[in-house]
Amino acid sequence: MAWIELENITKNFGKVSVIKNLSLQIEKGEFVSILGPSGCGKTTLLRLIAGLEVADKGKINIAGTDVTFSPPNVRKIAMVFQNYALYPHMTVFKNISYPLFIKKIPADEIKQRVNTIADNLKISPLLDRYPQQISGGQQQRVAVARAMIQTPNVFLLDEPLSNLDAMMRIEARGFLKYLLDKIGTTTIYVTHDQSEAMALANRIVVMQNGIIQQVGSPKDIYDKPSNIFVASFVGNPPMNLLQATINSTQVKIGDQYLDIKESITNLRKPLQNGKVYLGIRPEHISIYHEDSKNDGPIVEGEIFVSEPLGFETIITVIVSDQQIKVIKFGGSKNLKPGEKIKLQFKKNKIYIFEFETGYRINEIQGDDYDDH
Amino acid sequence: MKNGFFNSKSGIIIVFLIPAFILIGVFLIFPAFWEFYLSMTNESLMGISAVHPQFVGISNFIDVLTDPSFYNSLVVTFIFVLESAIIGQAGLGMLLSLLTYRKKIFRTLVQVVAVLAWIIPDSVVAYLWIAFLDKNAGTFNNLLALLGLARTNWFYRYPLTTIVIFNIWRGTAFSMLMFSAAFDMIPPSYLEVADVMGVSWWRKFKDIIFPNLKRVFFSDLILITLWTFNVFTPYLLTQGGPGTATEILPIYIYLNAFQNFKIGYGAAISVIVLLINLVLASVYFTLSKEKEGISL
Ligand SMILES: Nc1ncnc2c1ncn2[C@@H]1O[C@H](COP(=O)(O)OP(=O)(O)O)[C@@H](O)[C@H]1O
Ligand SMILES: [Mg+2]
Repeated sequence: MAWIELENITKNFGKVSVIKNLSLQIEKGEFVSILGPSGCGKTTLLRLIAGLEVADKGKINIAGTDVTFSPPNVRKIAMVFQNYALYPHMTVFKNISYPLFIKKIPADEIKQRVNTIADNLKISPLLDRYPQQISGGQQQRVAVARAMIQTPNVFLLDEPLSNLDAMMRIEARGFLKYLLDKIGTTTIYVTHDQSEAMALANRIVVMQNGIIQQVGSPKDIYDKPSNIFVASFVGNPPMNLLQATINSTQVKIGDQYLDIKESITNLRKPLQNGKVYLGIRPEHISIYHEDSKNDGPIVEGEIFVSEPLGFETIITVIVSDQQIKVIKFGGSKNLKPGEKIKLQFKKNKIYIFEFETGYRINEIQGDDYDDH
Repeated sequence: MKNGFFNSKSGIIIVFLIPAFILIGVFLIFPAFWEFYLSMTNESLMGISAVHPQFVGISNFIDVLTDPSFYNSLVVTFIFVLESAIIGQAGLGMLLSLLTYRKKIFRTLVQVVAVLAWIIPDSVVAYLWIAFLDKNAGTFNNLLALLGLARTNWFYRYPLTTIVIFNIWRGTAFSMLMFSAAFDMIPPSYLEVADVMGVSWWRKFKDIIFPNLKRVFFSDLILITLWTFNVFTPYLLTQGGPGTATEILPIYIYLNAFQNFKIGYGAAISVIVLLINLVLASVYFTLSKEKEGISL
């Protein structure tokens, strides 16, 4: 039996259906990230697990106990809220120690445990301050410390980094990963930021409109997105999705024919009318020169704009009235808007999605990471 | 020519504040000093001293402070304030806003009822209560009679309790509105974190809710204490009687100044009441400023 089991969970707020018949299993010690756009029901799902909301249908098991109708405190979970919810009238020390204080743990043990955690989280010098007197990143650590000190069955973190500025966020992300790896507690981490999910989690659950779209390792989610939504939500810049028509050997984008025999050898479904989306990630497109090796189909287009970002350059190319983004590493000389350009798609990185349903219908072989 | 004063920020602020200062001066500060002056005279409504009031120094104050009926009024007032304002209005207001926390419809209902009691004019309210509690024809006694209980003349049997309950009924809305607004300012996540930790409801109130609404709480106490200390409406119900059972200080002042025509004497009581009010207000201020967290 898995450590956390959600079985056919449904949750409505009035007429709004927020979680729709959702099932998920999480093993002990896993770091699972729930990823999805805002409003898709991530917070609601976390609150259901915490017991702050009660499901309309379904069952929740935590650590072998059915807690579907149990109040939050018996579930042995600890939650870090998006706004941290630190008590403004208590010092950092009192905030962190409060969960122990209300369990009537002796004062010297409290002191010792707070000090250990504060050391781990590098917030010892802040213990006498009030939350308003420390930075956002420090507040986030205090909130994590208050959760850790409860030694819970599972940590529930609701977008813990979203209140930080971009610089702080990356630093805090690394620290959080280091810390949670070290203590090894099962963690469910909610975020709308795909890079956070990719960087932190062992497993990612991609959600949209209260429905799980895909569950898998970060690599799986990235390499084998099961539908257009996942494909376009993960990756930055997102995957290019081009409207195309297809037959057994060729794809037609606008008036250009691409030879993609090798990408469509094993389609899962017979093609209906041939209308599909062709997906290709910006990092899997290269600029084709006469002397390039033949590594996949080639399209012609016109440069729309190029954005140098230092190490890499993002080039937007118009191909038969559709925009394609390309990541080019190195310099961006000779990439002037209006110029003609040839692009080569890496042949085993081409995705074919059914036009009507958005599901991927070609199988992706291999999991080589030999890019660039 | 550019005028430095009117162009500076503080200059503008002062200009805009002048009307307010004038109003406060005319209607609050001046009467207070006038009251103080009167309290040192033997001014009265009739007789020679009405025309030529004489300066009598602190003799009015000595008279007040040696008058047993003043102490009776003081005690009645303190009981009245403690029971009807602090325990009644603030306590009940707190309870109601806690019970209706995040229960929108229920809260609206309770608030409508409470606010109605608060906004009806004094004289109408007095009439309603007299009609409600009338021994023979009153609704309340009719109800008791229906239940087989004895009819009671509430204004005679339990005069102070009656006006205490009256004042609770009349004023709870204000405290409830204040506290409810303050509750709504507390992020729900403060309490949800506590729920997850398994904090008892009493601890949640003591450690989380109360510290976050302490300022509002003491501001409310200041206001309702002073209002209740100075409220005159019970006169419409009991005229201070029977005997002196409900003779709260405002009624005592009124009776002395305008029924016994001793304006100077009444002014002296007013000055004493003013001082008591100042002391009470500063006690509350001190309490609300006190920094305090949980104690380990
Ligand atoms: N208490 C509530 N009452 C009504 N609607 C709610 C409530 N909580 C969330 N919702 C709705 O449920 C949907 C999902 O919300 P939420 O779980 O907060 O999404 P996310 O965390 O993914 O941004 C939103 O449309 C939101 O408006
Ligand atoms: Mg959310």
